[in-house]
Amino acid sequence: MDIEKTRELLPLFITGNLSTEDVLSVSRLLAESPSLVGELRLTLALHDGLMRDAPLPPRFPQALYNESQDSALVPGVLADSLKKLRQAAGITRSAVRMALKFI
Amino acid sequence: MAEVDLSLARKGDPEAFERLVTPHLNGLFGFICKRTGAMAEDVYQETLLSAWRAIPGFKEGSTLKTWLYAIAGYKCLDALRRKSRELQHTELDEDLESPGFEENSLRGMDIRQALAALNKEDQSLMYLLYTQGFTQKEAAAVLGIPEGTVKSRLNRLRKALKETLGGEQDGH
Repeated sequence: MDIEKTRELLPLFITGNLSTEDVLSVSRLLAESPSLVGELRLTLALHDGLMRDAPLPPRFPQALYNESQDSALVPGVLADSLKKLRQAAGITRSAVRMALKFI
Repeated sequence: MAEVDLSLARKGDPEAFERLVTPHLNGLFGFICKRTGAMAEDVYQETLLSAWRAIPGFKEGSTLKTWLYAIAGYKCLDALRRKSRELQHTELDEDLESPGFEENSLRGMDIRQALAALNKEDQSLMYLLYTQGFTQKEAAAVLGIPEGTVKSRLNRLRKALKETLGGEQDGH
């Protein structure tokens, strides 16, 4: 692993996204190269600068839950038709019950 | 556990979907804020709704984080284009068209000020690489730019920011 490649890996090194093998290689090169230590210092400063005052996300969108009530697998265009079909089935059921009473 | 949630989410379970994406939400919102500024909340909601609708087609073996950020990247670009169409000439247009910054302009600033002075695309690139554990290739895919552009832009940014940090340390 050369200095250029190591420099590229430093952000992954500080965020813990490297394999054990790569961590060892980067650590070894850091011990040998003072210029790379300077790069590591810059990487850490950038990480801290970008993370400071990080905003918290808003609430998880409730629209997603509302949407899932019909069925996430039914496309929006078909959802209304499905609702009408269900209503029609309910009316038919009531009509059959009434008819059975008369019989 | 994540596999079970993925399977449930694909079948339309919103709670499983929420559990699945929750570990990525702070970073995702941070990225959207860097990329779109004041429009972030709307874009965040749109991103999660799109991801929810697309989760049945999510391919086994792909990385959920990269997939989620790719949707966010697309939504950000979409929102920025919409906004720039609405306004004839705004700060946003300048931001989109800006080649970046004048290297000398960062001198004398501390690292936070220097980062804030970058345009939104550069800020979001730095955010993906330096805080969210993205490789240059993944960041390029999320931002919809060539990997070579990421490399050259990063070299330029690091050089300028290094000078800023050097100046800051000299001052202490």
